[in-house]
Amino acid sequence: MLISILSTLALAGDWSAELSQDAAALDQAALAEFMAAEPLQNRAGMPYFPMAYSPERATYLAWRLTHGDDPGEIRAALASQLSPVGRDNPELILGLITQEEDALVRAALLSGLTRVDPELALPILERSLASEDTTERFEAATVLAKHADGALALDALETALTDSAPRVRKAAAFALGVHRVGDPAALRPLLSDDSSDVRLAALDALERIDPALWAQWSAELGLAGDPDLRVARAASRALVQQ
Amino acid sequence: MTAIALLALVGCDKDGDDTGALAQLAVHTSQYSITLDDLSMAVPGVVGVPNLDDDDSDGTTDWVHGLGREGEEDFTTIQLEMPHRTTLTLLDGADKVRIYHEGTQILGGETTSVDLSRNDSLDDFQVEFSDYRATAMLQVLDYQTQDVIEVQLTASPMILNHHLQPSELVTMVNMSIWGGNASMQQDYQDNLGEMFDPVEGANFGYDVWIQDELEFTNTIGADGHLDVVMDLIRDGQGILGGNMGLASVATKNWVGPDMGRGVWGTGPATSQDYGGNIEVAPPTSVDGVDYPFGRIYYGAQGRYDPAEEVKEHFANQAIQAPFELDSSWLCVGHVDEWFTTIPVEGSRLGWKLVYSDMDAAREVLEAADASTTITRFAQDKEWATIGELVEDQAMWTQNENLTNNVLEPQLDILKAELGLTEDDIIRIPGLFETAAQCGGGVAALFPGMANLIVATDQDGVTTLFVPDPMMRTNVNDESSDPIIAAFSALMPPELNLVFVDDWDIYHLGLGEVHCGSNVIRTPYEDATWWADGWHLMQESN
Repeated sequence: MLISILSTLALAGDWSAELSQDAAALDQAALAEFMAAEPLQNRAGMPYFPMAYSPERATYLAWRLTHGDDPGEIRAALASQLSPVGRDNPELILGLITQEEDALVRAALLSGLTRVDPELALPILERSLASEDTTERFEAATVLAKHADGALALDALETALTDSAPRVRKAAAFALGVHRVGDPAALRPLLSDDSSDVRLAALDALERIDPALWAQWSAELGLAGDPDLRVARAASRALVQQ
Repeated sequence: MTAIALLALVGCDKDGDDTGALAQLAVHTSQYSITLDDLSMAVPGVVGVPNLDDDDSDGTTDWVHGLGREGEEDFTTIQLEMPHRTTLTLLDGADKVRIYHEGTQILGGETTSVDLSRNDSLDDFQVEFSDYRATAMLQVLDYQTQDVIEVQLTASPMILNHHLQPSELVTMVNMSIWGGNASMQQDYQDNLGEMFDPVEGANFGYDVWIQDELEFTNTIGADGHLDVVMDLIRDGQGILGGNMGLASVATKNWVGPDMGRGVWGTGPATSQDYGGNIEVAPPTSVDGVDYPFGRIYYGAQGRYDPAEEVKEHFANQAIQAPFELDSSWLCVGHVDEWFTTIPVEGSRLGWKLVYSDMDAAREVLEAADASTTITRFAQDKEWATIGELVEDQAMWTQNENLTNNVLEPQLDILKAELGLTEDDIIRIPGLFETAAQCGGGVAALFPGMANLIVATDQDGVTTLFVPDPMMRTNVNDESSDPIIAAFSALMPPELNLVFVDDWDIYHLGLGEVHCGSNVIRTPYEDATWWADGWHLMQESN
C-alpha cells in the first residue's frame, strides 16, 4: 500500500503551487472577504458556505481550507464543498487528503474520489478504511460503495464488516451489496448484530448478493420477529420471496 | 380577535305575563341558544378563545390583567334571558374563566356565585377564558321557578393550520449575504403581491429556516378567532458565532394584539422539535371517525423525538388527533422532507397526499437523454449528466433500500392514519442521497419537490411554490427539465405552479422552499370544533 500511496502522491503533482498561483490571480479583496466570512448553518445545524458557482469557487474554498485558521468543523465544511472538483481536478483532492492531519477534514474530502481513477483513489480509500477515526472509516466505506471500481477493495470491505463502529459495519455491508460481491458468510454474523441498522444493512446486502441465503437465514434466525420493524419487514419480504 | 356579529337568535315573548317580558330561562350565544327545552349544546356550551394575546402590548398576556385593558376584544359575549331573579354559580373552573357584566367582573377567582335581578331585556355578559381547552360549569338558577340550566364554558383548543386554508401572509427571510435569495423572493412577490412580507435577515443572524422556528396556529370561538404563535424551542441557526437566529422573530414581528404566543418544552431542542417536523393533514375520515380539522403528524423515533411537553400539548388539544412517523432516517429528520398535501378540486377528500417516489424519478430519468448535462449537479454534486445518475448503482441501491425499508412502510402508516387509498396519493419524482457529515442520514438528491408551499389567496387561487429540481443544462430554461414536466403533468390543472430556484441557500443547506417559508392562514371555516369536532375532544376529557 505504501508504494501505491507514494505513486498517488507523485501523480497528485504540484497542486500546492498551482493553488497558490490560482489564488494570486483572484480578486484579493474578495478573497480577504471570503477568508473572514462567517458560514451559515445548514438545516442540520452544521456550517456551510452557500457560494454560487463560479470557476474560481474551488480556489476560494481550497485556499481558506489550507490557509485559514478555522476550527475543524468549518474546515470539514470547506472540504465537503470542495470535494465535487475531484472529477476535474483529482490532483487537488488527492494532494489535500494526503497532507491533511485532521481526520474529519480528510473524511470530508474522500467523496471527491468517487470518480477518480481507481489506481489513484482506491489506495487512499483503503488507507482511510483503516483509519483510527470512525468518521473517516465510514466515509471511506461509503465512497467505496459509490466508486465504480469499489469492488476491488473487497478484502478491506470484508474486514470492515467487523469494525467496532456500527455505522462502519453498516456502510461496508451496503458497499458489498451495491457491488454484489463478498462472501455471504461474512455477512451472516451481522444479522445478529446488536445494532438494528447493521442487521438491516446486512439483510439488504444479502438480498442483492445471494437472494436464496437472504430468505434462508431470515427464516433460520427468525428475523421476521425482529424488534426493529424495519428488519422484521425486510425479513418478511425475504420469506415471501422464498 | 376577529369578531363575528352577535346574531339575533332570540325570539322573545314580549307579551306580558306575571313572569315579565322574557319567557324562559335561556343562554344565548352568537351561534346557538341553550334553553330549558333544548340543552343539546349545553356541552360544550359557551365557546370562546383563550385570552392569550397582548392587546395593550405590555408584554404580558391579557388574561393576567382581566377587564379594563385597552383594546380588549377577546371575550365571548352571551346573553342571558332571566325572567326572574337569577343566581349564577360557577360549579367548577372558577380559576379558569371570568364572567363580566356591565363592565364589572361578577364571577371567577374567589367569586363563584352571584344573584341577579330580573331584567326585562336580554343582558350581555362577557366570558373570558384563561387557556386552551379551559372549562368551567355555569349554573343558571331561576330563583322563582327553580328552573336550572347548567351550561359548560369551553375554550378553544389550539388548532394548527392545514393546506386547505386560505393564506393571509407568506413570509421568508431576506438574505443579503452569500448571493442572497432575491430570485426566490421575486417569485413570491410576483405571485402573492401584498400577501408576501419577508423578514429582514440582518435582524436575525441570517437564519433562513423560518419554517422551523414557529407554527402559526389559531383558536376559534363563537365570536371570532385569535391567532397564536407556537414559538418552538429551537435556538436559531443563522451565521455561526453564537447568535440566536430567528429565536425572537415571533415576539418581534407578530406577537401582540390579536396574536398570542405559547412555548412548550425548555430545550435543548432536537431537530424533531422544529416546525418542519410538525405538519397537519387536511380534514379526513378514518373508519367512521371524522377529523374535521385534519390530523397533526410529526416524526418521532427513539431519541429522535419532539419534547414531551410538545407531544402532550398536541395530544391534549385532541381536535387534530396527532400521530407519529419515522423521520430518523433523514439527516435533518423532518416530516416535510418527503411528503405534503395539496388541495385538489373534485377529489374524494378535496386534497391529496404528494409523496416522493423513487420509481417515478427513475421512469423520468431513464426516459431522458442520458447525455444531458445537469449543470448544477456537475458544479455541486458528483453527477455531470443524467446518464451518470441513471448508471449510479450505489444511488439506486440506497433508494431501493429506503423505499422498501422506510418510504413504503411510512406510506402504509399514512394510509391507515389518514384513511387514504392509492387514488388519494400523487407519487412525484423524488430521490435521496447520503448527506455530507451527517453520519449516514439522507437528504433530497435533487431539490425535494414535496417540500413546497401551498398559498391560496382570498379569490381561491392556489399557488404551489415548488423547489426547482434543476435536472437540466440551462438553469434558466424550466421547459427543458424532464422532472418539471413530469411533476407538472401530475398536478391538478387548477393549481398555479411556480418553480423556485432554492439551490444555493436552501437545497445545499439541506432544506428547500417550505423550510425557508412560513404562512399565516385564515382559520378553517367549513367546520366548528364545538359541533363537528366535539367527539374528538369529548373522548379525550
